[in-house]
Amino acid sequence: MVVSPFTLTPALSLKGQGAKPIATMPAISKLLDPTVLSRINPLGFKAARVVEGSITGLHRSPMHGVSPEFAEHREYTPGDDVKNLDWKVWAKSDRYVIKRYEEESNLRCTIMLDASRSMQYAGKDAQNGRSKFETAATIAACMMDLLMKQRDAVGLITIDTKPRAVLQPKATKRQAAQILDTLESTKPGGETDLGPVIVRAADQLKRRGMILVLSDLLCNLDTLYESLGKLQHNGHEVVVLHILDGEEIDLPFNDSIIFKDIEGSEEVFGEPWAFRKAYQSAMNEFVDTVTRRCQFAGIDHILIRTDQDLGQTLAQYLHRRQRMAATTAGRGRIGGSVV
Amino acid sequence: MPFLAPLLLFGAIFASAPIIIHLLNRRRFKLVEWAPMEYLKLTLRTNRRRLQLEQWILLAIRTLVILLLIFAVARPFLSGNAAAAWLSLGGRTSRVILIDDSLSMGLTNSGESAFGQATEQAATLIESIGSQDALTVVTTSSITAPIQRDSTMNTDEAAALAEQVRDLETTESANNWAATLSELADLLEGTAHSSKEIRIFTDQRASGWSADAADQAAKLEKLGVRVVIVNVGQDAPGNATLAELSQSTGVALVNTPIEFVAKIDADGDPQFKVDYATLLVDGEDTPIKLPDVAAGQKGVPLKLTHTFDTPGTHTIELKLPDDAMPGDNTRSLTVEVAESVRILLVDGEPGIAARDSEVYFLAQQLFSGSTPIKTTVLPDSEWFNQPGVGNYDLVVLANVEKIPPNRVEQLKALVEAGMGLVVFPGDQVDPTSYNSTMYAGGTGLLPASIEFGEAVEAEGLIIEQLDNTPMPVLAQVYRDKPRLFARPAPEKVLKVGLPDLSERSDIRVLARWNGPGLPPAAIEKFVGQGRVILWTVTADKSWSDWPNEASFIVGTREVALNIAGVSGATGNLTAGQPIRQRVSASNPPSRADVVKPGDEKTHPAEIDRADAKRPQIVYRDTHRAGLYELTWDMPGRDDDRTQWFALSPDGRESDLRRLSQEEFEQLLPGIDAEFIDATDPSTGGAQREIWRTLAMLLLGFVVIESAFAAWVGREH
Repeated sequence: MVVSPFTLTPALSLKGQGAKPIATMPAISKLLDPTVLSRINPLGFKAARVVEGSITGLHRSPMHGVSPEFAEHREYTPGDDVKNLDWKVWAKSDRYVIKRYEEESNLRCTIMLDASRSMQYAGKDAQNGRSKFETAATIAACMMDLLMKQRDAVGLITIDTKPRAVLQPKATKRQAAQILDTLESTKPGGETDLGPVIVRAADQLKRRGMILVLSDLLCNLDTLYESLGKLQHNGHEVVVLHILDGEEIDLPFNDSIIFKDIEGSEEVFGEPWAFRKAYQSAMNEFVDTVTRRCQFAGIDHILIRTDQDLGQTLAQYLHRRQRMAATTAGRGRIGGSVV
Repeated sequence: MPFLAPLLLFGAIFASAPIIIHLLNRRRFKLVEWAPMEYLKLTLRTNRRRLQLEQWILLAIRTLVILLLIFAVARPFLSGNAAAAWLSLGGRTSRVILIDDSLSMGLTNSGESAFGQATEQAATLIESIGSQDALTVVTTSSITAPIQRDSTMNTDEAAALAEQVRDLETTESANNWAATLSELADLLEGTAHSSKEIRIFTDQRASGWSADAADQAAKLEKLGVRVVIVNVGQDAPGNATLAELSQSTGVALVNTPIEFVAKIDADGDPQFKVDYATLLVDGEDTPIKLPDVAAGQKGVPLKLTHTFDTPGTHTIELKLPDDAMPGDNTRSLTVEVAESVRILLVDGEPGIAARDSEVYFLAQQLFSGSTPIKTTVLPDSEWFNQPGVGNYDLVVLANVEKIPPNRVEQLKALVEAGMGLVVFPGDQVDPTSYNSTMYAGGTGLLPASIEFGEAVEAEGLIIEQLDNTPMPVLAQVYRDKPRLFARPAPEKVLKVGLPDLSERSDIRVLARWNGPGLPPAAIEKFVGQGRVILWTVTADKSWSDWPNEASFIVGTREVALNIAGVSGATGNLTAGQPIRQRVSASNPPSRADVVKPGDEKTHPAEIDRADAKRPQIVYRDTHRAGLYELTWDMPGRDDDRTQWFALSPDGRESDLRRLSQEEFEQLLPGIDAEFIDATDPSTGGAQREIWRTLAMLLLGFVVIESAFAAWVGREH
């Protein structure tokens, strides 16, 4: 039975993982947005590629073990367990062949959450007044809840200039509580250096799986693309959830503005009406470029605007992913470096 | 550039308002912590130059709008130079500067005469017109003789011409604008450049303008001439005019008091500084007490009497004290003083004996009395054989059958010039001929058409009591003792056809025969400066016994003396009329000189020999009023002949009514004339206020600012 974080009680105390003890869990974390959950939970989330799980789950595993689903025959070699011999084949053809089955595994999903200061921005039209970070944290919590329900292991790495909190993927209630606690306790700060940090964080993952990158991607894109390529090379399925505030895309201001770099001290004076279209064009170009590069690399890129309905956006993505999975079943890794 | 309200220029400080607002706006900002700085900076870097340029242009336009507003409110005006420079932008142009130098231009108000303003502004304009334009400078009095004719000038030449213009003097002649415009059209027709402009400096008086100007305006319109009328005239503060100076006494005789009458008009309050006028007789002045002249009063008479002790031509001048327009305050007169009155009696029925003559009684009566009269009696046939009427002050035609048309013309010319004419009927008189030549449908010499004499029964004479009657003594006696006039009882009188006297102020009945339905006894007609008297009885006793009566003796004598005038009195002219002096055809002069009033230099006069039988000296530069002395030689003789001419100001110019712009537009249809009021202090004479131009510019910039701000404010 899958335990939902909704079922966690305040009295539940979790231990282990060498992390600091989790004192008290909220009855219902504010990050677990029921409107989002209600949209995505029915859809589920399956890895598009084979994953190495530790328990039986929904996802295809590279291991061939006990499974109701036949995979292939291979010649018997000494050392093979004789119980796997296909006696029917032997009876028919006098050949010793081993019968192999598809093994379904649980998913090891790691959420890499950009906790740099740029994620702190919250536009006035943002849904529920969420900043980009809060939106990313909500997505992380909801996706964790969805995956946990699928008995998938979920980990969390918060990053800015370096990996901050690292929670290796696990499919336990304690893990869920820890993730929620980490998400709620993390305050965005520091500069973004996403590319190298992602690689460094990924190095800490013991097995290949899925990596959800939640970031505004306002960083050096060349190193980012390189890092994403490395993740893919290491066998991870990468999904980029590109979170931007509506104001950052539309620049809807009418007053004279001094734009202060949120991660630095630089200030720029501007009258947005004078260059709004040019700016929008530049931002659209940015998003389109990221989308194009990710598509080229086989990476899912989902633009999430904080002023749009989060549940709908995620549900659309998951639904699309379901349809894509149905049509591209068995597709292998698309390859190599994307840079 | 001068301004009418220069203090308002301090408002230019407000031109900094857009800059201050811009700077304040930069201080009123919102601080936003921004994440996608890289893309923001990229956008700004890409658009910075455009944004800055747009901001600077917008700022400049807004600053300029405020500056223009302040500028317009301060009411700047262009000087003549600047205006000319502005005008010279139009390319090569043939320009005509026409300066009105008529009498009214001498009107002075607020220190400077209109003519002074006109010449100064014209001179300034001449100095500022570039060398690319061909210039003609001309005055209205000398329209056929331009000071400068369609030529380009360098700076020195322009300066010299400007000085020449500044030295011009006004005249006392009147304008004839139709003729002036016609000459202008002719002048411009052959000018060098296709772009043509006339700039008329005038006081815009109505005098001299007529409906004929419209035809000339059409000519100018056809030539595509741009007309600029620069008004230099002002309202008169009050002007006195010496409207008339004339000799009341018909014939001026030596040692006989001669009466003159002057008439004074007051247009507004004349504002004389003194109460005395000055009378100059042959250059010697005498103060004359002026009558009271009230504002608006017309024709206030001033009677003068003088006795000359030598015969010949004498001159008199009467000068009113100076006022706003001194040009019409002086009039002059030449007086031909004779030793006796010269009377010609033309006898239509000379008898064998002296008593049989038609003019016997007349000749006898005219000899009587103290007045020296020199009577010449000529039979009509002899008179007709002479080339001219003769040099007489009065001609009496007695029972002359018919008068040849050429002689009628000669008589008419002399009567118009002042000679008297008395006509007596008789049985020989041919009414058809008289009515044809002498009456001429009412335009001739006779006051009435005539028929043959008819028998009547009259019971004496009635003498009309009239002003300025030529028989004042008779009228006085009749008023006192009318019974003395009961005796004349003609058996026959001339039947006449009188025109409607209510419509003819020039014809009047002096005396009537007493009886129902009887014709008048004497009818008078004014013809020019002379008078004609038609008696309806004969000069002899063939129709009546009246010639034996004392009333006939007194009446005919005083009528003769009162209407006798100097037949050759051509010396009194109006300024602008040419001086013409007939000279001997047998010994014509080789030279003739004129000394103009106020000038000691002699000016050569033209000797016109076009008609060899009647050569004459002509001098046309007579636009100044005053006494002109004409001298010409007589080849073969040592002494020169001298004749004085008195030219008086043209009284039409004393009418100071000014034309409005609308009236000008009616007078000059088709001409889109530009009017500049040089007397408006706001325009500073030749200067032109340019607030309209600035207002248009301001409006334009406001529109540009709005459009540009909208364009800049669009989303980029």
